[in-house]
Amino acid sequence: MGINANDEERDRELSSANLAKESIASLHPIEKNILSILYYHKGKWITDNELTKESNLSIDQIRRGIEWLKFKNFIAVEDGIEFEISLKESLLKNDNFLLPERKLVNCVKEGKSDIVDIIKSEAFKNNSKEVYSAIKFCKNNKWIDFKNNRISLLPGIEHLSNEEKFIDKLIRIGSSILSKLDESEISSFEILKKRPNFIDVKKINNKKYIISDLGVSFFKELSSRTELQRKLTAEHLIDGKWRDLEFEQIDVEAPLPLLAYGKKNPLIDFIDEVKEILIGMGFSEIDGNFAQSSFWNFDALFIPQDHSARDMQDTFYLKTIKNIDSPLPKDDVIKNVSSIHEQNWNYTWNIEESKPYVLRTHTTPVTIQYLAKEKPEQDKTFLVGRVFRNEKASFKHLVEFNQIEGIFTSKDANLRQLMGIQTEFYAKMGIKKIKFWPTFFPYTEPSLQSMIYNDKFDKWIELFGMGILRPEVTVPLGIKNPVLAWGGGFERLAMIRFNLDDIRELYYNNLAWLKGIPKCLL
Amino acid sequence: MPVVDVRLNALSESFPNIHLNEIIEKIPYIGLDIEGLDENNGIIRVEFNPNRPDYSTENGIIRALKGLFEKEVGLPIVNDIEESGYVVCIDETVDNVRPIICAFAARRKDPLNEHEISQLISMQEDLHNGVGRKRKKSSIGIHDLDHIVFPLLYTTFPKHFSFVPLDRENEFTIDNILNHLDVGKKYGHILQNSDKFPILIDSQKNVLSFPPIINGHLTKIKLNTNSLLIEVTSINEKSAHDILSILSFELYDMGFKIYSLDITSHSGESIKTPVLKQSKMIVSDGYINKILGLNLSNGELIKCLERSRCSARILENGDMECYFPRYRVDIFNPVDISEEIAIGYGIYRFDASSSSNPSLYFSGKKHVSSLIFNSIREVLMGLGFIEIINTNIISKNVIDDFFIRVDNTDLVSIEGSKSSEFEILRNSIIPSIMVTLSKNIHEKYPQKLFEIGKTFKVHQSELKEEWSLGVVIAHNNTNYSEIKSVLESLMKYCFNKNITTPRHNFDYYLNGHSAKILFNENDVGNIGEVYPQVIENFKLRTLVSVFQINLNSLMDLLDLKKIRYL
Repeated sequence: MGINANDEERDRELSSANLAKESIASLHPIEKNILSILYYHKGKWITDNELTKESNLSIDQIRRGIEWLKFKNFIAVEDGIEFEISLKESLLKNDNFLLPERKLVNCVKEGKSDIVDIIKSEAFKNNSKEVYSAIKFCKNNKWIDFKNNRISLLPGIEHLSNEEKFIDKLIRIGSSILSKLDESEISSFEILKKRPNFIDVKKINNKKYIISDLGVSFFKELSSRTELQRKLTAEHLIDGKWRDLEFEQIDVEAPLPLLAYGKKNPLIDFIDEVKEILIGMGFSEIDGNFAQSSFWNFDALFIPQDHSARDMQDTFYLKTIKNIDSPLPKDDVIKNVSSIHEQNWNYTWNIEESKPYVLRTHTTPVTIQYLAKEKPEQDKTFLVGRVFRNEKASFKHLVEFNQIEGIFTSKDANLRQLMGIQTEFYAKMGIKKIKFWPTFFPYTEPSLQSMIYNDKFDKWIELFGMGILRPEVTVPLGIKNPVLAWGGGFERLAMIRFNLDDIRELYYNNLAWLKGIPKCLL
Repeated sequence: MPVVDVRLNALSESFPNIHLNEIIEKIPYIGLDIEGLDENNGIIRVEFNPNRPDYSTENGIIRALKGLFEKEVGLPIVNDIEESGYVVCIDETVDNVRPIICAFAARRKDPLNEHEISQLISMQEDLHNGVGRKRKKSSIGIHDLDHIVFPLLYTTFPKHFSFVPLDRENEFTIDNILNHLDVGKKYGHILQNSDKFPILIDSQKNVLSFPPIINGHLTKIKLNTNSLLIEVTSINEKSAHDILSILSFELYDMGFKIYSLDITSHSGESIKTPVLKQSKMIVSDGYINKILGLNLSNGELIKCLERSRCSARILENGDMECYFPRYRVDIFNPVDISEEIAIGYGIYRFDASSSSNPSLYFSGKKHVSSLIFNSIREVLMGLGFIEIINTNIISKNVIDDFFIRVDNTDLVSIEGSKSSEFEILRNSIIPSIMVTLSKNIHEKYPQKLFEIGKTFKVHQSELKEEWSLGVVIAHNNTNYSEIKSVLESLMKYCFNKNITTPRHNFDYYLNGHSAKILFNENDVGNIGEVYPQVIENFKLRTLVSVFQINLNSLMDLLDLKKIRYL
């Protein structure tokens, strides 16, 4: 048993030694400052005010340091309701302030012993009340004799009264705390408090602190050690002094302000991520103009010239000071396209209608020009770019937005493959539940739309449209093999990614929002 | 897209053995979008695509669903069309105005009910707007047959001719209708090149209609009407017959018996309408399976077509002769047949898994401008800049606020712009960035922003569209040196190239604190401290320094073909 008890004791010693060791290591300069003051005043309670004055620390720093020291049991803390005693401001303004009893003594010294003369004197200015009160306190102080309305001085006048001593102290130090007064000061305070216009008493909540035994022994230990360095400097390194130094442990847990940083626009970044997916699937990026001829935006895509999509209320037509028409393709292409329109749509095709510049309403004119130019036997291309619709902007519609579009062409390209491409792409985007519905586009047949299931919104969302480019589109341009095409608005994905209720936010460039979007979505 | 109300009880009655939910679930698989389900009123609102005008009524939709559920397959047929003996004569004066007319009559015992009238009117409206091209190409008149005395004459009258138009009590002249009635003002432009106006009158000189503007009041259909005359006038014969066939099937499905009319031209030729003969098309052997990626037998192919309310037979050479209803105006190429088969097969039955992703190998790569832009982005990010994006279409005020004292005339603007916010295509990227700064005055400074975007201008009677980079620093101590050091860092770190900046004054930069940016002696942009008036115009209270670079010029000069890995 005895052995066990010794072991326990040793364990305790060891652990407290360890704690002390760790504490030395982890003492912050603020803690050290406070602890040294409390050590100096050991055995005495020290208030916040006193600590502030002696430490030159801010109130916040003191509060933090106190918390840490309390946690380490180096100090004890008590909430203290205290009374702060000070002289009335009016007294402090008066350089030659004297208590009435002293004024009375001085009057008598000047030769006025008759009470009436004293009342009339410069010092009392007919204030008889003050004179009688002065007489009362002079008597208490054993300074005077008062007989037959005449006053004679006693030898005691040479000594300051306790009240005078107390007032002198207050003038000297400004204010004092009730609990710090000695007995005679307390009785002087009690007397003065009863007399009007001398003393102010203010109730204050002044926390007070005292160093604990553990704190004392720890501080002794600390003082006996080599002085700790706040930080490693280049000089320490160069002159080799770092070998003899020990370094303070800094607060490694406190949160710090975030830094300013440069970043890519979140939408561009997201588009780039999706581009990487497509490149991984073997698609190559193509690029083209925003301003397109009506020919490439509409006619080449088998959209008849009287189709409502070509109305000005849906499409932005461009105008310049001198009227500029868009460059059109070679005559044979025009002829092929116009005759396919006339055959199938039963109207007279007008070349003038195909000349005006429009802001592309989809990215397909870029793709179709690429195909018409390259006439690839087999190919996989994509683009993501701005398209324009003359619609009223709202929380779910933008006038300008990005469209993503891809094509696959080969001798044997077919509808099932198009669905397979979509499934593969969506799977890479983490979308597992998809379905396809038939739909209609003027330039594809068969045409499908894909629906994806979004877990966050718990509903099906319409995403990309797709289809096989109609022979009426490909044949006049000399494109031989079937072309599988798919595409749709990109911002719809961005709204899900960035949790937006209002699609316009993507283009508002609110810096706080831009900075707040994390690089990775987890 | 136009919308049709379909009554849920009409669906249930048509498919008594199938659960309503299952019917609704299948609606998208015939190419319709469900817009909303109004269970209180027992209605499902369905959107249809303009290529399927036969979907413009409940009956048309049910006709297609019956195929998918195999309740009725193959070609729908209008049985027992009887000759009415009624005649419509065409006067030669309509030739240059609106030359085509065709019509049929329809009768049944029960009068039209409210639902049927509203379906007919909404169908008429949808057909007018879609295949009728807002009545320009074709328009429809529906009349009470019992108020008509045959034969009819389709002719023209001058503008002072008058009659009582639909829903009016008094006679109006044609002139008055065109200038004072809403429909006249809306559709009058269709007839603007003529001083003679098409009118359909009966033998009593009563006006049936003034196409494509308005009907006469006399033949208005009401709740007790059970005999109808349907006429379509048009500038295009095919379109007229297409529309008439859609209407014939609709009225037949409503339980009407259809009666043909004789349409007699001024040269004496006569045809009977409606023309409802099925259309046909030959599809070569193997084509369908190849384009759909399926492997169906001929029997299966025909079955799929029948589920789409078409039909087919296999010819001796193995090709397939396909038949489809006259109203299927959207079928004119073998690919259209392939879609009918895909829908009849069931889109949901395709193997859409990743294993259908073609295995043909391609190596994908980014466009070279994307690579360059990303390199520029990366360097600017490293220099602490945040990328913003703005629209290409902006307000002219924004341009004027930046390019002060400049007559901004080489701009490209939007025709008939509806809002001052969307007026012109930006000719520089900096004004938009200034707007961004002014939206962020409450955010912490310094603000360091950049944008890569397109700019547009007219250059030597060509529309020029170029990529541009704008870089902006805003804070109280920014100056020329700071922004120039960014410019030099960018060019050095990104391309290991130097630029020169010969002094040049711009109205929008502080005098003496701006320059042109030259690369290999070529002007590629400009740089400077923004002029105080411009800063004030954007309501900013801090200094701004900027540079902008024409990336197309820069990329041309850099000779991007030289970009290499080794």
